[in-house]
Amino acid sequence: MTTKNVLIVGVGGQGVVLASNILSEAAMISGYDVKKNEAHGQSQRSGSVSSHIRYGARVYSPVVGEGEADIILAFEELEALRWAHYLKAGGTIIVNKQRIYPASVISGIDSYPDDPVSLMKDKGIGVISIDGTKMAQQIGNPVVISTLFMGVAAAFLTFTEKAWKTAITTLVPEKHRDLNLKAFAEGRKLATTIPGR
Amino acid sequence: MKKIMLANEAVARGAYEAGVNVASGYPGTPSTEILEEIAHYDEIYTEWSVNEKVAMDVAIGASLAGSRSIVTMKHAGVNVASDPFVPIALMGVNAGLVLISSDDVGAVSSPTEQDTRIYAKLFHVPMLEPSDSQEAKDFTALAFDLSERFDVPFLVRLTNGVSHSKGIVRLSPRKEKSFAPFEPMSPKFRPQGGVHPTVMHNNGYQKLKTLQKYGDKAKVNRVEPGIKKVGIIASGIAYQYAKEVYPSASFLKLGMTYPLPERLIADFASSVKDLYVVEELEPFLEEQVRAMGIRVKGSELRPHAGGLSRETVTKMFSAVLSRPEQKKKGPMPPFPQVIKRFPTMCSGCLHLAFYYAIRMLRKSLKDREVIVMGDIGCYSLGIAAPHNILSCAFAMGSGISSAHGLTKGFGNGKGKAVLSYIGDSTFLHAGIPSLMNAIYNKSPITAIIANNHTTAMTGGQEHAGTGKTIQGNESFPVDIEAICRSIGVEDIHLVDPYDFKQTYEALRQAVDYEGVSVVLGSRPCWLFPKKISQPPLQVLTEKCIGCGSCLSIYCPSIVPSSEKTAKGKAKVSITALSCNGCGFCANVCTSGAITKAG
Repeated sequence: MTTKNVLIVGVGGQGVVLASNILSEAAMISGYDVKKNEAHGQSQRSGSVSSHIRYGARVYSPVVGEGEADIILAFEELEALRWAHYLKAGGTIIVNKQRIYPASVISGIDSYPDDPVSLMKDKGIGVISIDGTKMAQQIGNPVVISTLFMGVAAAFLTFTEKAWKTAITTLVPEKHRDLNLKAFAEGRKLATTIPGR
Repeated sequence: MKKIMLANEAVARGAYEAGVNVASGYPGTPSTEILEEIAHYDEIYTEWSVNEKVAMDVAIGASLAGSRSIVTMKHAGVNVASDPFVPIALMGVNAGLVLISSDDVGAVSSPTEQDTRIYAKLFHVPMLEPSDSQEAKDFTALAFDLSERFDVPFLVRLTNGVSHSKGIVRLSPRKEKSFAPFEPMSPKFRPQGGVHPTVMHNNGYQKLKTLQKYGDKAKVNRVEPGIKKVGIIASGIAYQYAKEVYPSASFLKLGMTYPLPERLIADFASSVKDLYVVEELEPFLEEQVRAMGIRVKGSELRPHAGGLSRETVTKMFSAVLSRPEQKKKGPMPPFPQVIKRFPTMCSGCLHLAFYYAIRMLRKSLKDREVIVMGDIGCYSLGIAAPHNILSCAFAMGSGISSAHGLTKGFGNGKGKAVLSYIGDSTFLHAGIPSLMNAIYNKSPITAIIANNHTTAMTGGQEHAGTGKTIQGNESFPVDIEAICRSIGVEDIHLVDPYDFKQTYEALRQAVDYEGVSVVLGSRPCWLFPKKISQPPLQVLTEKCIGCGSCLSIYCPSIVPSSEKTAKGKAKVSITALSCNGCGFCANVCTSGAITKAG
């Protein structure tokens, strides 16, 4: 198969790294070669966090190129807009309905873009907006947004249910495991309501 | 068994499998995780050393004693470790000795970008460059075998493109190794006494000649035949980009990038029409290939600084790439509405409190220019807006000594107030000799030492002052105040940075003192070793007069609110979610409007 390109982006502390680890693990369990690259080091200081995942028969570069992402999972709206041009024609960007203002916006130096989701839709990009933060809270903990998003992503990727669950079980500490498996199931359910899925 | 591993983690695994017994290093992005991961293996004695030179000495000693040893650092650390590495590289080893350097290509978290490969030539050491996690493990283990076989330490060089990528790694069991211990009177390790340095130098050169021949046949260097029109020589992450961009080209994939396998390169060059080198930073491979009399393209087609990407490598070959390999349609342009999201200092960070005091000092010393020479750590962010506190910051421990030099250059600093700013880990790394020099040479500087009891910038590693080892075992906490006093600092001010008046007064007195002053302020980091959370503060809106004092702390939790004073000034509010409740803003508030929430 041709290499699949996935980007997971967000802000430090949102769970981008965990989500990308789960997705990579599921790819390996499914028998693919997989590589992953992430921007480290800013996660604990409210910086942008991005994780590139590529899987297929044989993967060389760990980095997704511009215009090549099959799917982008964005945990925050500004970050979605920042990476949107990495999406390939016909790709899908799933955006969490959340805005986290950078320090420069809070101090009045910059202004947060007006409605990033509409900006992307106006360019003909396939955008799916979901209120993951609210759903995660309803499930019981805002941190389960990673696994909730994996549940949604599962509708777009070809891994088996078992591969996903094994990946989550391997990577999530035992005390949070059940909650995360529940979030994954909720994500899957949500995906069935997305037109065309 | 296979596992997805960060290349840094895979280096650690390679060391484990190779039977390494001793590991040392100093934290530095993008190398830090290597030693952190090694520390998880009980079989390996692991330490954070106080600096890279010391770490190198530790590894050298362990090699002499007959233990395979590894030493890890970032590119800038190699500059520090180079002093002992030059002689040991020429002397040779007992058990295998491997230096791991990870270069911060793109200077994501460094004041400089540097190509460590050039050192291989100066050191006379062979160099391996892995291009993914599997190779990171395999090359690390191989480096030990070769180090012993050729009697020379090895350099394994990574870059952040490799270090911070993950890939699938096949694991093997550990193989224990044992070697005859060091013979104390062996001439090999006694320059001048047992062996003349020029003989050592020549030995080093001859070993490289032998290694060159080894490289011609070694598995780590391989030809991947493709079209005859284009041949590409590449290694490391550049190989992965090139392979992705131009899969049909012929490749000479180099695992050992010094010394170069000349025979192999010559044969490969003659098998293709046009030869390219794809490499990041300096034209290190390219110049050597050219020196062999081979025509080669590369550096004129790519950026010199900042590293490569899929996009820049595609551009390199835009003239020759056949149509199917060109992208059909370029990607859409980025959205112009996107704004940057810079990393910020944490709410309540002691550095923000110190910066505020320095800002006030600047305001009050109208007739004297306040210059602050910075150092390397979280507080390096003070070199940028909105803080703009540091005039300069370039190398570990250099703030104090360059501040001293500044005063001498200024004719003892008349009309200036010259300060330096350094954190605890950096002070212990290279600040002590700098401070000693300032004392010895009668400097008028004020050295601020901001002690947050951790190596915060790299993720909260232990250091000699924390009282804990890398494995978290209890140790002796080196006392910074006692060091200062013992080397002769008489004017020392111990402050609580959150006490603005105390800190400001201390600085005010210190800059007027004729000799070296130290202002030592301590407060724990909010993130490391454990995230601290205290109840947040709040603004009593009716009391806020919109003076803006608290806003000029540039704490990320203090923001202008939509409410205005009668005079139309914006009042402030505190973001409860991120506020750490440090209380510093309540200290500087002019109207008593900031209090504990509740």
